[in-house]
Amino acid sequence: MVTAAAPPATPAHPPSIGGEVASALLWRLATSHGLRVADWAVEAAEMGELPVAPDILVAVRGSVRDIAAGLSLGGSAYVELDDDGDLPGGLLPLLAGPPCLHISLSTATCFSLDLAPLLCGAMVARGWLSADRRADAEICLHEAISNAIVHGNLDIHQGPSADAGAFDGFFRAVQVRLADRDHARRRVTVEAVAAADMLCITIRDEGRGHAGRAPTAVEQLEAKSGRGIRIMVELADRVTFTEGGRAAHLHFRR
Amino acid sequence: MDYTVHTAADGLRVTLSGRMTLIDHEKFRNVVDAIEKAEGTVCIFDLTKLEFVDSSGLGMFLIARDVALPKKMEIELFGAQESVKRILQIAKFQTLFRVTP
Repeated sequence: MVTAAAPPATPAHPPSIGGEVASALLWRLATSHGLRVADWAVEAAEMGELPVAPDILVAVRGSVRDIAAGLSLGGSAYVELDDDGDLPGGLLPLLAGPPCLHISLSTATCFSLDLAPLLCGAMVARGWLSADRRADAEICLHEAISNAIVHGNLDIHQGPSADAGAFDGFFRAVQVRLADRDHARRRVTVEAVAAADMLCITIRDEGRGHAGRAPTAVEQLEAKSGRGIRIMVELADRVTFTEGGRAAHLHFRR
Repeated sequence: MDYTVHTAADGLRVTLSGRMTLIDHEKFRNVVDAIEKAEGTVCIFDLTKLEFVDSSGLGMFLIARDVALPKKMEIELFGAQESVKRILQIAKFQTLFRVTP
């Protein structure tokens, strides 16, 4: 006797998805991942005409307005779709767990946005981060995102530490790599998970990784770069690196 | 980040405001150019309106220092807000610059 396989369990309220993208794309994503399609228009959101944001907001090109409006209306995820036009693999399991935020952007978009204040503002508003730790979290997140962009996805490992000329050369290298499609389209992903006693923010890139050591030598005081990890270690409650340095985890006690 | 540069009798006054990050390199290059051309003994960076500085911004201050030192010009970092002051302290900038309240 042949018995039919049990259908996959369907949550009572599957996450919703929305975004100002082609409706066919939205419906394809909703159907393939078991999601509900929800209304979204950034202007309507800014005018207070939408009560809530979709759980997952998608865009072809990420924008500050979209992210800010989505976060302010309770959205959990913002995904700038890549060439495959699909959602990141780990997103749906993440949404099934404790309260979380997930932002996935191309390197080019992430470089053009000031993401850390937006995310930290949302985490304070949701009660995941106390107001008096916001400045610490913001600089740590900012440094981790900068590292993911520059040293991770743009594959620039030599910091501008020699002299002023080297500093200019470093920024030229950043611009050249940002103009290269293969580097510019790599993902930067930021995930924040609010557990009972700890907020953990994970920043992932698609570069070749690093050892994750903080420079400590006194002679590096005058170096023009290399302070990002030191700042994180000083201000976060715990900093760890996994995935060969491609994932930085910032922990803040709640 | 926004900036203004004023010439004073003893050197330069540079006022920085907003957020000083990686993307401000080109703007800060103009500040460095002004320091290169300036006369006097001190360049005071007024940080009272600077809300945020990252590690790249710290590197920019060090470039300004590299340009000023051979001219016998001192760099003073004045009036940093608490969050900016913490970053300056982590970088031990008080050993490299005159940091004033």
